[in-house]
Amino acid sequence: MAIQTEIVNNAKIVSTKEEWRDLDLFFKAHPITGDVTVKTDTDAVKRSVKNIILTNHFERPFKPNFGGSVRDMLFELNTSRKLRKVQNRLKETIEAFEPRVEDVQVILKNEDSNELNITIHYSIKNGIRTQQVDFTVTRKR
Amino acid sequence: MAIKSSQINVTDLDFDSIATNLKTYLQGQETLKDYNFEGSTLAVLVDLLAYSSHIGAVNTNIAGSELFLDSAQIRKNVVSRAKDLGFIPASEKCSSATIELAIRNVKNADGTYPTVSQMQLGRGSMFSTVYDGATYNFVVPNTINPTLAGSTYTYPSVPLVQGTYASDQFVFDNQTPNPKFVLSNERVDRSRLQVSVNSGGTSTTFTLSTNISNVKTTSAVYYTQENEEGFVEIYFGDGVLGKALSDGDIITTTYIMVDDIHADGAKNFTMVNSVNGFSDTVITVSAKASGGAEKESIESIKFKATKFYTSQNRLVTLNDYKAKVTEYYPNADAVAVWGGEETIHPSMVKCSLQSNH
Repeated sequence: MAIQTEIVNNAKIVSTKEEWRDLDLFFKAHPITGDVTVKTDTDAVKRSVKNIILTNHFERPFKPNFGGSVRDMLFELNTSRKLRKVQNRLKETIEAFEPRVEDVQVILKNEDSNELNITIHYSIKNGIRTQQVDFTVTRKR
Repeated sequence: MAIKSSQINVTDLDFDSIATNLKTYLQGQETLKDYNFEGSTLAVLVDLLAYSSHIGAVNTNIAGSELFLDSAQIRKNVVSRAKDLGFIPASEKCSSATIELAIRNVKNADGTYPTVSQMQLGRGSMFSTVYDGATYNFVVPNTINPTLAGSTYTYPSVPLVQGTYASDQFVFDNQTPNPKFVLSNERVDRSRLQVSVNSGGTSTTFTLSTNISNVKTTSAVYYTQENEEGFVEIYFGDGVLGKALSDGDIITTTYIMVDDIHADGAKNFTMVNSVNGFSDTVITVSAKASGGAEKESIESIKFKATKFYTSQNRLVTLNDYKAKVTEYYPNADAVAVWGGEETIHPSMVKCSLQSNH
């Protein structure tokens, strides 16, 4: 469904914007329709950014370089050099695989030695500015 | 508006083409639109579907190819297709040489001479040779009796084969359907395989069946083939085509394990052990080592199996002779055959071999 911006006075269409629509990765049923829930617009982009970051290299078939592969870094040494490396990798990955965003900024917080808090700021091109994705990667046990 | 399923190109079977086709199909609907962005959940699903279809297509392609002798690539399938045509591929062959052995100054401490049976050169007696800087072991495949002249015992023609003697024993169980006995070593010279069966205390030597038309219900024959893992397996008759074994019969197989490197060309041999304690030997090489070969290659199987099937074990046409000669000499590089009508001696068929050594 397209969102239409109209000038109210003379009802003339001056621009149209395609709405992004994607499936929710968790495949939850919609409480009313019972259908699979759908992520739209900013939520769809946010889910996409998160998917990219959390995908490991060689995880996607025939696309060995796809993904941020942050889990690979979990057992690396906790040094500022390594953190910069993760930071750069995530930024480059998002810019390469998500053409809908720009001005990507990655912030890493390493308060606990067993986990890594990742915050990603980005702007959606021709859309809402300064979006943010937060998540934590940690060992399971 | 969704495109018709008939517009999906079903002949593209590589991953990228399948994924592109799925995305093209998705362009025809309005519900989900993020299929072009690699990070989207829809792209994950598209990739999974494309991967699944691609793997299915590859498997189907391979299965189809492996069904036919011409296109099969996996050795076990080539061997199986050749078996349908009655062709058994040649196994590894050990290099063999012939020597004349003389043991001098043989005399017991009491001044008597040992008997011939005491001076037998037993099967498995070991010789060694150094060739191209490496040492190789050769063994005697059969027990040989000497001739005595003075204090010298002479073994006029001693065949030596390169490799190691090995033996496997099996117990026949008639409760096992379609029993086959797999030798425990992979590199076996099948032409030197010896099989004997001990039934109720009586040992019988079984021979390899090469011509089914001669096999009777009581023929002591065994059959052999290469199994899926590349090992040699033997099996016996069912009481109609060859003698059937009884429950509890003990099957003994002895064979030569072929070395990885063939010492073809070796001509200086020394005896490793003594014979009855005597080791003053003089060895004269009658024929230097030759004939070592790997098991028949896939290409060779494909080539020979069809020729073998065409000849049907006959010797009538030129191709029949060609097939039979290559069956007897599997290591020949080239075989030329021409009929008597082309020579000055009618009724003779001539064969010429080009060895690969």
